[in-house]
Amino acid sequence: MNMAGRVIASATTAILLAVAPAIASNTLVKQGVAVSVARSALTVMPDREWNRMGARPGRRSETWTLDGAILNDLTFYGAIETGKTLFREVDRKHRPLPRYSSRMLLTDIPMLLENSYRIALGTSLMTIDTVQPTLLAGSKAVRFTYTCTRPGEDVERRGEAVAAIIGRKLFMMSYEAPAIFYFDRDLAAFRRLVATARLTEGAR
Amino acid sequence: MLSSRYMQASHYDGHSVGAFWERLMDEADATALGRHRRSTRFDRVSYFDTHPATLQRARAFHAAAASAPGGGDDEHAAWAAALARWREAWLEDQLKLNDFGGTEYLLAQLGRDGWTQDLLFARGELYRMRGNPRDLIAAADFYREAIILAPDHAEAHRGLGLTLLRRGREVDAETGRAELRRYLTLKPAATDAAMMAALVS
Repeated sequence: MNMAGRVIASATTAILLAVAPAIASNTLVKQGVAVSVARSALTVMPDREWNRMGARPGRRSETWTLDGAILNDLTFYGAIETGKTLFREVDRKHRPLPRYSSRMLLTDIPMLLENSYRIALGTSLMTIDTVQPTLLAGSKAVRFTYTCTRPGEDVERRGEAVAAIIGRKLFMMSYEAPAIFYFDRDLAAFRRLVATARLTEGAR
Repeated sequence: MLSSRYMQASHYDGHSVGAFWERLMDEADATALGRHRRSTRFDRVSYFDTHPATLQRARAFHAAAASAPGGGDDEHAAWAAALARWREAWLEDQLKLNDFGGTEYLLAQLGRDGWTQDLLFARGELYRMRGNPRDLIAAADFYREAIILAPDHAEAHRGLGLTLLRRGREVDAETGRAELRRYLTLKPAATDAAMMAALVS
């Protein structure tokens, strides 16, 4: 490579390095440091490293993963207010998503997630399997499990979510992974993370 | 119009095809109305369309049927019997589409033969899901009507209980908890039994 070639190559590398963070804005979530999630008062303390995805499913949500979002997807929904959807609405005119209401009971939340999934993913292969009472950040909450299959693939996914209505707003954490291998492998990590969830003062 | 000629040669009522297209348009209108959208233009034909417009089809089939000898059967009872095993699952899927107007229209169509307990239950679920204060009053009425026809319909007791609890009035809440207890008696192994038991207590 001649001198001009080297200059061009190094300039190209510099441009790529400068652009790279904008393209891949995934960031590392450090172990043992309390972190606020989904632009809300909800904080968790991970006991292992996670990757925070740059792309958010909605304005008030964020996704973490270990091996990539299609293999393990941990999504936080923080302080969803009345009239808001869980995900970003792609086609409000023809495929409007159901909206959260503070008048909902905790038992309505699994249905809200199921219907949002069915419409957003365009699948009818989504079922809620179990619904149980639990606690999230010290408040009454619902823990539910579900099974879903995205259109165009045969991979069955299992999910578990914990949701609470605190101060008339919805807080939810969901974990979803292929039923084969991945779901069982990291379910315990999700449950440990749920146990660390706290709300900063003033959020209630 | 080959299919139309086949229809006329068969023992089926030729007007059924036109009526099918009409119901399709009416359902789309009901969906649009429920979503506060304008109705679709069913007579509009695009240059690249491979088939006639929906309205054109409905009219053409009715015209063809009118020129035929007439009579014929739509075999409605046989159709309903053949689909009976799928009906519950399809109603459930329809309810989850977040399409209040379209679902209300479909339920009314199915209810023309009489409002059965499964249709009343589905209508209760539809209104409870939308959940406006007046919807909750209507939902409770539909669940109650379903329970009159099928006193052991566990999910109708569940729906009624949750509807009454969601209304937020103490007088309703006590009745609501009684309905959820009835649900748990009828279906002790329900997948949400633990959550319902927590609501009751």
